[in-house]
Amino acid sequence: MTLDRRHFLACGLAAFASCAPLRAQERKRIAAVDWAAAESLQALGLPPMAVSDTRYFNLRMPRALPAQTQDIGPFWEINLELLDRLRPEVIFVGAPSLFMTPRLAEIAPVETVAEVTGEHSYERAAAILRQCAHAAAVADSAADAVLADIERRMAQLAARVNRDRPVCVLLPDQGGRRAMIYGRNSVPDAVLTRLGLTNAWQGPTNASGFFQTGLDALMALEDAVFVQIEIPTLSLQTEKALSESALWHRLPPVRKKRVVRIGQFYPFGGCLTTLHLAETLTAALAKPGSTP
Amino acid sequence: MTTVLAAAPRPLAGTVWTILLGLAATILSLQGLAGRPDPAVLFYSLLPRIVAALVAGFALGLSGAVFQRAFSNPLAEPGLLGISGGVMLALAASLIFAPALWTHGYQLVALGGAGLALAVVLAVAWGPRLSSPVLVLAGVMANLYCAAAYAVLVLFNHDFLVNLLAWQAGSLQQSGWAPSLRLIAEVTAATAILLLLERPLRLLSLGDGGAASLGLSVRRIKLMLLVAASVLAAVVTAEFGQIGFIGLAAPALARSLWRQAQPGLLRAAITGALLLLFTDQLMRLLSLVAGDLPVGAAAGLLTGPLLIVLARRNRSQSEAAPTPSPSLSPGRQARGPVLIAALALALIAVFLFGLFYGRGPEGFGFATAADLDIALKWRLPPLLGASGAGFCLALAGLILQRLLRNPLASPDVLGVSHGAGFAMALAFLVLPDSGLGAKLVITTFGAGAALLLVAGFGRRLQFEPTRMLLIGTGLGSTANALLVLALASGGQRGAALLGWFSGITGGIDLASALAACTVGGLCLTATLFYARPIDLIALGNPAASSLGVPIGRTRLAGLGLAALATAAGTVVVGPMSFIGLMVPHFTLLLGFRKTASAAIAGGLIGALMMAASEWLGRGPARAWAPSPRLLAAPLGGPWFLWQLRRGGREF
Repeated sequence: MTLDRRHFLACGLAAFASCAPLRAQERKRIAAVDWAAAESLQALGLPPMAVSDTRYFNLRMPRALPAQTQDIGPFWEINLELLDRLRPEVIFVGAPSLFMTPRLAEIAPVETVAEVTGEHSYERAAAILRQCAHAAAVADSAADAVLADIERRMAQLAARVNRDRPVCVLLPDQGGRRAMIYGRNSVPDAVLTRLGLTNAWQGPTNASGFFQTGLDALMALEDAVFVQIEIPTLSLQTEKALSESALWHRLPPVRKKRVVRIGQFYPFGGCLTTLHLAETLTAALAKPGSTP
Repeated sequence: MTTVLAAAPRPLAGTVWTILLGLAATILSLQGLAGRPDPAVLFYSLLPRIVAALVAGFALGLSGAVFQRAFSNPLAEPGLLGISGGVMLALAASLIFAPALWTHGYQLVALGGAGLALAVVLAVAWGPRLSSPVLVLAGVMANLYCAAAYAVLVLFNHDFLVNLLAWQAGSLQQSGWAPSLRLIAEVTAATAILLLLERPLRLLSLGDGGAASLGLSVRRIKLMLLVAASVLAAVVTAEFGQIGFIGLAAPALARSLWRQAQPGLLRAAITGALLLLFTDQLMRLLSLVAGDLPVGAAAGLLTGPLLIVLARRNRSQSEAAPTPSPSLSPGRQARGPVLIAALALALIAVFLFGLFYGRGPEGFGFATAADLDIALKWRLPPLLGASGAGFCLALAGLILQRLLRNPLASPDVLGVSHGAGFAMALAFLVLPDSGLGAKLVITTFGAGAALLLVAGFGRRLQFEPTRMLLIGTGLGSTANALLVLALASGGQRGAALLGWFSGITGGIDLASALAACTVGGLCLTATLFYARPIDLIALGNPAASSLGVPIGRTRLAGLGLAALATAAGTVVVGPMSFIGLMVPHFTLLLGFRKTASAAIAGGLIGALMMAASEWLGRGPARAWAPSPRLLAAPLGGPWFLWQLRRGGREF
């Protein structure tokens, strides 16, 4: 069911975007180092011709890149010679890349995209989409239309989601001793808020909205549902470590079998990531395991 | 024997201090127990964490004491013989390539990795006496090699990027009793063996020759000691990750508490247990607001200043010279000028090849006329920068090893590269949009600040070698701890910072590259000017001062030169120790004895290795270019080990 819905949504957005009044020869040659920008451009129907770390992008982001997309290396070490040969007209980067490799600016004009994590994370994702539309010389109305479509989807999901309990989105480490929790200022927290859910973790977080802690800190979240993030390559180890972790089995949500799982997502992603996360969260919370 | 026994006065002061340390640790632990009523948290998290800290600290303190005494070197630490690197690499490799193996017993995988690394190190150093300098060098090389291979694995498997920090940092966070109980059993067995060997260990510290004359099979005893101590380090690393500094600091603290040059092994072990408990409980308190702070990395916050204080306080043990530099040993005949000319030619050849041969639009080939612009624009600065950085770092290492008379001295030992790294991290997190050019200024500033601190601490001590090393290591570990804390709040920026720490050269512009080369040239000129006094100081202080060498001034000048060269190199390739640590030994193995010729040859070798790594990094991978820093160790490592094996008997 979920897969169908997501598929439908992706097709719908793509179909919508392809209606945008843009012919191939008018398109700018765009390279994207920053993934939030890359997926915003995807949502606008303008997939960049070059993206950093395409293999991992395709593993981790909601929508795969076209096959001909050029890999220009990891975002912290862009292959500048290769990128220069591709003759991009604009390069989308996050602030860190420009700090690490200032010479990017010698290749083409650089569009610096703000970070999506921080206060008003949800609005930030929309702002990134608008910025991308502007820099890619797309009419603002196109961005508005994409955002309106996403909002409509979000509203549908919010009307349907199971809101019985506060939700804690967490990623256990491979030792079964610690967990990374997504709290205030993170993308998952923004999505929870948009869906009308309560984030069970109201404690401190770092600048990106994470909190790395021992499992003991989770003991206080008695009413919560745990949404456990599963990273496919690591799930074998994590499962084994958790099964041997005495404290994990004594956490109230685990004891009462209120643990649901979602796949991995990119915690610094843009609009498509938020929508995808909202969908997976809604689907996961609807499972029978999530209510006692 | 009698001298050893006579040197055990004032046990009372030691007992009192140890009890005080224990009391502090207990109070912190009790705070945790009193504040948390939930029985499950108490029984499955807080209590096992206390036990884990005690056992791990005990093991690391014991292991560190054995290593420091067996090698008579205050910089020796438990992971020295390739253990930490071997464990880390084996675990990462099994996770990526054979997860089933990992799932069914990661402890065995870890021990296997440690065993493999140890076997390689012992094989390289195997000889009639199992020579200490060769063992140490082979161990350090094995660690660097494994660390580089590990970093490459992680860079190509992002899911593990988070684990890179987590593993290197080492957390004592617990969620059950299994790891602590396992560790208790393992540590008990290894400790029993080591305590039985304590008497022979004392004899070993008389020197290999002296011990042999007392009828000891030096090789067998050394082998047993080192294997048992390495197993201790390996089991701790397998359970909790890398917990550095305790193995280094606990024996140093025990020496100071008990006012003994060589306190008993048990004393060092207990000091280690209490020190780690105290540190970890402090981190637990901090974690309530800042998130889980891995004690392994954060331990540097405490042990760093501790090492500095100890270095400044203990005058009594200061003249206990560390292992003599291998530069004193006779070797093969130097074919100086010919070899230098050959190295220079090789450097030019690699440089030109790297510049013109590479991946163009139609695959590999020499750059065509049309392509020349792009090739020069993007290949020249990194090549030039990498060569210049290699030159600078090799030169810095050479000067430091000779002036401080310690074969383990490397540019990062002075804390200079850590200073640069810390300044970089801070700037990156606080003012992320400062952008162009700021990087160079900031790292230079950080390196300069670290140098001033070291010089300030060292001035009153006449820049005496052993203590300068402790001060540098202390500063370095403090900066490193602060860096980990900074990264803990990093997220995406943290990952970018990691990139810098893996040594990016691609983004360097021509001006910075030329600056690195210029600094290298200037430092070489200055080194040639100081070559004779440096040669004499390497022979020992009495010899040098009797020949009229102003020791303090020469050391200050030399350290300044080394720091400048380190800063220039670090700015370009990030903090790396392989070149600075190993190239001076390469030059010795090639037969260069005099500082003047060794400086030229060493600089050329460093530049050659970095240029070759830079080209190789950009060659085979289509878009992904592993940084030259990561490739330098895998590239030069095996050759170095082979040379060490061949030339080892000469040490």
